Amino acid sequence: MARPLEELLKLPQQEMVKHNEKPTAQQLRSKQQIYYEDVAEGMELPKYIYGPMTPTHLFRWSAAIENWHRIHYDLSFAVNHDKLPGILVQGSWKQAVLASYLKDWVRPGGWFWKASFQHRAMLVVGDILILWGRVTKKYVRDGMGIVELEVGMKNQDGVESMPGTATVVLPLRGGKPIPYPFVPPKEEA
Amino acid sequence: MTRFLAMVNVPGITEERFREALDQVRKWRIDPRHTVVRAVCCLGDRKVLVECEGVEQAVFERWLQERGWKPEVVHRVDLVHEGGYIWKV
Repeated sequence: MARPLEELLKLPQQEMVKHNEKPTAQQLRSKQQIYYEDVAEGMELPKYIYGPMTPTHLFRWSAAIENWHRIHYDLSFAVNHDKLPGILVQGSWKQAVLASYLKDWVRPGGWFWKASFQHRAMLVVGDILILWGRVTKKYVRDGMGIVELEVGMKNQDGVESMPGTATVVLPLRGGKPIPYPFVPPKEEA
Repeated sequence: MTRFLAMVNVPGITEERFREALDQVRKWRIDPRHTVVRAVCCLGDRKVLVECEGVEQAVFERWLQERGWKPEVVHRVDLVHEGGYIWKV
């Protein structure tokens, strides 16, 4: 049984990391579809836990996207020049894992439609990061299940670094498949 | 932001006691935005040197007190040389 986010945050860090609900690649390949009817307002998505973050995590991402800003790998520069608490976890990485997170949840037949979030707090090496989501609203439009979510990434101290919202689309049980390429539902008058 | 260096007198400090004291630390970022303990050096001979980046010295001193450490003196750092660069902090 997954722990609710608030309970997870009360655990010691060494315990916290044991509750990672991120599926393996193999589990994702054989993942069963979650349908609109399976979802309820207030329901939490599985929580993905990353870390404790290391310079290697940060450098790997910088290399992958060719972002050579020194605040992500040069501790001396980050601390002494930019007065940061350490080398910073990249906002673009957070953005990328959020997209993967939502795609994982709706796959194979759903669609991650849109997300909006802000970068509010700095995350540094040593932090444990919890990617989370919670259903805030659901409704049917054009035969598709629209699910609105509150999402974010907290560190081990409960500091919310990326508050946001997202909308995903789930198929109805026995309903039509979600179109690909995705066609957004028409707004109701 | 100010860089502080505190010299703390810790009678009987040993590697074991040093590790024990710091293993219990959960908050190196005392205040996630403003105050970070950067380094703690055991000099042997009853001395521990603690480096902190922060805004208020009192916050840093409170953290030291939580370790049971009372600083003899706290200095403000002006210039730092690291790895070939000189930084004015």
